[in-house]
Amino acid sequence: MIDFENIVDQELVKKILSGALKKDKLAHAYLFYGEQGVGKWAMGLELAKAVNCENKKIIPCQKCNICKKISRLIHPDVRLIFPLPPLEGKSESQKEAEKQKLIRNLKEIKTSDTYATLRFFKKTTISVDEIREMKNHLNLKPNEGKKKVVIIKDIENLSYSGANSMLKVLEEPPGDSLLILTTKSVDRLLLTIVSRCQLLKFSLIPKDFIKGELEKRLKLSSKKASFIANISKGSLGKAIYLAQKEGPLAQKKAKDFLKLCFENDFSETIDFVEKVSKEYTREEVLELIDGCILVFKDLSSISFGCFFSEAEKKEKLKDKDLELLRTFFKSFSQIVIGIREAEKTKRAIEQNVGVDLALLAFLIKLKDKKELMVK
Amino acid sequence: MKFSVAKSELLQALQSVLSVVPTRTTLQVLSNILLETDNTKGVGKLRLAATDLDTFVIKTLPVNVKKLGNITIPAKVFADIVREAPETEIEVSSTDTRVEIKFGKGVYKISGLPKDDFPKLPQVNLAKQIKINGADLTNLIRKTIFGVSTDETRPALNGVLWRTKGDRMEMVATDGHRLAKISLINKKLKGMHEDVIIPPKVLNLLTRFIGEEEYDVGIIFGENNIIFSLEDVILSSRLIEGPYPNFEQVIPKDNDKKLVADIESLTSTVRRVAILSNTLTHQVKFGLKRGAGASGGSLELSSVNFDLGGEAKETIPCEYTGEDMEIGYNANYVLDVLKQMEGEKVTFELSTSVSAGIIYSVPQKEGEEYLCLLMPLRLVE
Amino acid sequence: MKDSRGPLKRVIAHVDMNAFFASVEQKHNPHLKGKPVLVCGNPDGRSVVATASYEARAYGVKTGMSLWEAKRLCPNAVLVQCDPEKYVYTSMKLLSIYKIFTPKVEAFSVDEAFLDLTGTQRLFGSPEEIARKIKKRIKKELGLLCSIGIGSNKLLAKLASDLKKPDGLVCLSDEEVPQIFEKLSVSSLCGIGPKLSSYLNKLGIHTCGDLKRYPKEVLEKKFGKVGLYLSNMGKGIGDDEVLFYYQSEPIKSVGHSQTLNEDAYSFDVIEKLIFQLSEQVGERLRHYGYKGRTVCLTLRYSDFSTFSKQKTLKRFIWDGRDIYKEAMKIFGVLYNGFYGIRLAGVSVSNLVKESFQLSLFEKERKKEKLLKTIDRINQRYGDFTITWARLLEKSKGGNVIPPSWRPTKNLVSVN
Repeated sequence: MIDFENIVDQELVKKILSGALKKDKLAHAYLFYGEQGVGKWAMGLELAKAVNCENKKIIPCQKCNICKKISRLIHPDVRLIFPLPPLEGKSESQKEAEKQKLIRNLKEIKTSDTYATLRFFKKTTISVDEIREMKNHLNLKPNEGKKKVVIIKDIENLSYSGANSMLKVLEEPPGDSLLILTTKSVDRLLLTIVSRCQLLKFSLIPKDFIKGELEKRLKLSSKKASFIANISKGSLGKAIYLAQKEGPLAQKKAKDFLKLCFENDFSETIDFVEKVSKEYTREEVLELIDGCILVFKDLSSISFGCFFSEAEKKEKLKDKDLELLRTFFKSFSQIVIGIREAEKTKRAIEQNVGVDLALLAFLIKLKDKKELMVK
Repeated sequence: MKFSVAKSELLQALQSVLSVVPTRTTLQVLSNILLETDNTKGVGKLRLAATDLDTFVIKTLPVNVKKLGNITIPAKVFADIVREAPETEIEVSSTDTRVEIKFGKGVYKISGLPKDDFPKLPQVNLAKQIKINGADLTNLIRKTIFGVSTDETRPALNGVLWRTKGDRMEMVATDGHRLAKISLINKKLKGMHEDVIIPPKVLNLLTRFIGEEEYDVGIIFGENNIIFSLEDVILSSRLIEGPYPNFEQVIPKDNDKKLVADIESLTSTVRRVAILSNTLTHQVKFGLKRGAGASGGSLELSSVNFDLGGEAKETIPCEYTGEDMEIGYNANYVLDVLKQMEGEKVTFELSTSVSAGIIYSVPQKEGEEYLCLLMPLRLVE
Repeated sequence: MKDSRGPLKRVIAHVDMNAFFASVEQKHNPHLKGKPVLVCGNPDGRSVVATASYEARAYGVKTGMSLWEAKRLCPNAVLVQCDPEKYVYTSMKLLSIYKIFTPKVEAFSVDEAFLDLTGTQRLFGSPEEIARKIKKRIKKELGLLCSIGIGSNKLLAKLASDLKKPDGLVCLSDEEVPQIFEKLSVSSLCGIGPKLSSYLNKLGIHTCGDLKRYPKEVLEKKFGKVGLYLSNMGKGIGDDEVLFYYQSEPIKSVGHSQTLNEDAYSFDVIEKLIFQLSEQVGERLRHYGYKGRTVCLTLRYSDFSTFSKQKTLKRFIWDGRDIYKEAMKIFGVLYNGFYGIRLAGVSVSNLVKESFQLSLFEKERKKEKLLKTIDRINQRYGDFTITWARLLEKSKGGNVIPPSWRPTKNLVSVN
């Protein structure tokens, strides 16, 4: 019996893969595509376990040595390739050490929760060297397992030459191998890569499922889990991130951002906006704005005296930044306007309006409200 | 785990496994060496293992075992400590993942990783092993390994093919331009039928470990790996996925022109003439002229270097009764092959200037059949 | 330029032959000595002045001027037809003179050369002395005059040689540079032509002093890497590497060019020339073991204006006929149909090695070629036009390919 219990929802994908496994008609290369945080990576791991697990009754059993090693991302025959940001080290050995550390961190995040999203500040790439090492691995017979598995995460980050160098091995992987590629958007991929894979679409996860997972994995209260599930737009990964980021430290960035807008004069604000739009990726900026929305939510909680729990109440009332921001957003209607403008700004950025323009417009509108408030 | 051993012995053992510890790896445990104690039949032993995921080296040495156990320790740090330790008994002990190294008045502590994190060691089933004399094995490897390809686009050629059929054992290596094939008769192989492609890394390690020793080496063919068992060292390597191209097909059967030359003089002449050859192709042209009678032929070796405005020409006597012909070769390839030819003379069986030549020595070494194929260069005026 | 402790100070000399073509002609034909001589392409046709002797220059005649204008300024000028072979021959002789003094000789053009004199002082004396010796030798052996400039890099050396013409010898020490550069116009620097200099003027940069002071970050932003070079030039910092005369850069392109005995106006003649050149290039490529992807055609018209155009192909070529085909395509676009052609050149660049080593396993290579072709076709037509039979079977299996990916027409299966 095949049981993908670790995967949330995705019934169609589960059906197709179980069917293929049962009939022993698994493709040698899959392209999982869909939003971030909906289970592509998680399924890749489960599939890797399924094809190597030694249990006779149920696969993957999660209990045998092989399943455990794969879950911990240390199985010698299951190779994982992540896109990485540019390294800052000056010498080769410095860069190498940096890279090892980075990958170890990424693996830690993914072992804590397979749905956890990996976030980077700079543009990430998959190097041609990684592809070469992967080919070397595929060209040798397996170490411990039955099948060699390679999971390449977010393959849209692969360079043109890297993609070309893997066409042959994707077309005919040597021996018994399974390649799983994941991506957010098929359109950005080379046709020659896509044509060599079986495509599987991963859909958005329904809110109820996300709520349930948040309650189960992070022990959130029903109310909070519901709130976060609502703003996660179908991505469990994002929901986990938001839930973890709901801590006081995490929202610091958004608070600092808002404070800057109201505390300083306009030219400094402009400089800051320019800095943000240069150094942050688009995703980062969207998150910042999400953070602002959560701050507004906190302000409204304080304003109404309405909290999820006693502990939270204490925490929020102690927060100095929130206290300061409350002086700029005295009335509830102002807070609502703030949230509305934040949503508008997010939409604008998603539709490719320049980040610096959108942020500036956002801050100007917020300041205007401040002026309005004074009047 | 707890054991003690003399520093010099531990250091020597460490050095034999260090060569396989990878310098750059994303799996942290690979930068560690596995230590495991054994007490079977009352004989205290320590097993040291290291791997880069493709090749394993496992070294066993006798130690004073005080407590059984296992642990993996960062290789470089451990080796440095042992190297710098005084010539005395060293005691190594571990609890959970903490390792303590004691000698004299010094106590050194490092953190290790559990054995479970380390890749599974290859299983050595001694019942299935066949034995081959170490010197013979080294000979087989030396005669073929130079022909292994480094072209990433044809991975099956990046290793040496080892094939056993009946009582015959064959090793073949080719990179598409030259091929080396050696076969031996070994009575101990009766009934086995293996066909594996071995990466050169483990073969090089093997020849290093065998050195000048004459003893037998045990070989175990696994489904996915090959294991070489020497006295106190076990080498294992993943095999390369096949299939190996059909090389029998490319060995010509109708080469009717035969050139026989003295190995030494041919080698030194080719080497000299190659000095002025084209820097890219290293082309040396063989101009063969038929001789009157069996030994009257001549071989003119020539080369041209356009950039230096240089050219070289030297003639050596040879036995050649075929039609006059010219054929060009990469001088380095020719020298590689000639280096492995034993005996006094070498034979080139040729056909046309664009087809493969068969090269073998005269006489052949007792009990072995060794030949090389060499594809020519397209001659450019 | 005192040689002190520390690394050897660079000493670069620039030798600039004065009114080269005209001087060579005057030496060759003593009747022309002392007379205003104009060397041109075609004395009868609509030609321009390639070089004017100093006597003619006194009348205001300049290089590049049209013949009729030159004749207007200097009615008794003698017109001589350009004879490249003579100039090249003389140029080679000059090089062999330079080589006596140093092996680091770089021919910059047919009448200019850079010499690296660093460290030759012990053998031949101070740089000035060496320069004098060179001038003396050139005068004695070839009867020609030159201007020599000496500086610590090529930029300064060339500037120095420009400062006194004809028969000049100018040493420019590093200490003098800031003062001289302050008021020097940017257009007098080698490498800054009229277009670039007018652009710099628009930015408010007129003198080298201005250039030196202009923020280099802005120059870099506007011109890229060139901006950095410009900034350095303003400070008098230039390239000081002079290659050994037998040292060549790795082969970047292989080309052949030929000057015709008389300007060609007929298509057949030009085509034949291009065919011949292409064959020669092809042969040289084969000899060096290269193949290339970019073909460049150069045409010089009878008035000496020269135009080049190149085309980069998707595949590599090395065969003369393929090169000829591509060159002719460029010709169709490049040729203006007006003037006659006096020189054509064909070159191939973007080189990679081509192997002449034959292979034991031919079938393998054929298969790889097939794979690459399939990819290319798929790329061009942007769809599943050709695929492997196995993949087709698989796709019939589950509903794994979403609607947008359904293969369209022309499905061909290849085994």
